[in-house]
Amino acid sequence: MSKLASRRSSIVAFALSAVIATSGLAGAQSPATNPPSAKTDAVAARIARVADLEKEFTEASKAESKAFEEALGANENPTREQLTAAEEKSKPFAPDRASLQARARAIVAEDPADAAALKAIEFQFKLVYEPADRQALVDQIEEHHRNSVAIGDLCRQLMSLRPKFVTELSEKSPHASVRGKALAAILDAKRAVVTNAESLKKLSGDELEQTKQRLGAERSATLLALDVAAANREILELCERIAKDYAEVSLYAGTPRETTLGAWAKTQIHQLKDLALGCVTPEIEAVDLDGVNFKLSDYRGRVVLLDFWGFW
Amino acid sequence: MIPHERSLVEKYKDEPFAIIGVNSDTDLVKTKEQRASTQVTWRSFWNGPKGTSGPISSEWGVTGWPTIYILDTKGVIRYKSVGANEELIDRTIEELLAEAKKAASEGK
Repeated sequence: MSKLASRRSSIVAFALSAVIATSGLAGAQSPATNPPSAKTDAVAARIARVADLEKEFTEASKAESKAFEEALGANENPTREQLTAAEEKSKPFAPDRASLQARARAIVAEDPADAAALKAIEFQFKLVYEPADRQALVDQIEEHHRNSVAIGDLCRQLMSLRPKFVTELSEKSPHASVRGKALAAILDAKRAVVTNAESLKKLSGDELEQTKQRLGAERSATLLALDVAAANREILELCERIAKDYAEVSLYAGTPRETTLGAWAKTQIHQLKDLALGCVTPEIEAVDLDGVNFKLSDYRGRVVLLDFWGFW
Repeated sequence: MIPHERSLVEKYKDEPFAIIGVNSDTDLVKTKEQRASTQVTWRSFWNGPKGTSGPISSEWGVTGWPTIYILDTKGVIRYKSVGANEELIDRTIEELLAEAKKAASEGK
């Protein structure tokens, strides 16, 4: 997570919202290996144009973050006003979203059904936040790309926007990798619901009332009524199904996090069976920042706050 | 979270309480400098050169930072969250310390 993002999120520090922000299943897709032809050359050229837009966006975002950090300086605990002022200072460096979107749309319009169009649509998720605009992007995906192999890496995003479509992909996509990734996205969403339910059930008094308001009455009631044990059993079954049927599907291809759905599902199973509330923690034995070996169990007899952190 | 953790260390310096980090920075030299300047006095495991993809966070299935676990004196996981809700964290630590005291006074 970037420093900018972590500082911003610290302002809205609340477990329920932070859970949603955990990382997902998106990853690079290996390029198509069709024989070269005029058609594939044209698609490749269009994909390169999308890549240029992404580069422009990333560079401007970096400049924006840098300006934001510089405006805050060494201030570790900025007030809301100071954050707003820093945001104002960083705005001139921000990506020109309207222009980028117009160019991405133009690429889609040239051929709405090819691989470049899907990339251009995917890119637009970074640009638009209005629910109606995001739904319009999903409409385009549903209409033209439901049989695409590249849609697998979009499943997590689609899960929050149109879960029914992801369920459909998990059953009907012609590609095993898409079906597997769709199931993994469904599993992630189910786990987030359990985590949110567990957090909500811990609250009381004013904090509970405020959170209920924020979540809405209907969603709060569903979370509070959730049978966590039953939900976890269902999640475990889904994990085992993914591990059995889709073990070879590659995740995060081409990144340092590259893995397979089989390994990913095993981690999930480990989490559910060994890292749930009420479990004795697995041992950690490793070096500290000064190179000295120690164990988590050295601290038995104390209440331990175990924090996965970084300065970044 | 670091300023809050500093205050916890101070508040519970005479209690059976510890903060243990799992640090996922990749540049150890820079990290140690920052550790000094931000007064991070508690001990951290190092997640290794692969940073957030390192072995400890992978084993624990951590995908969001910070991820917080709170363990009771027997090493049982009693709280876990992605993100830091300081109020809930404080309340959990209080409860677990009270529980430990009670158990000690009952000779368990």
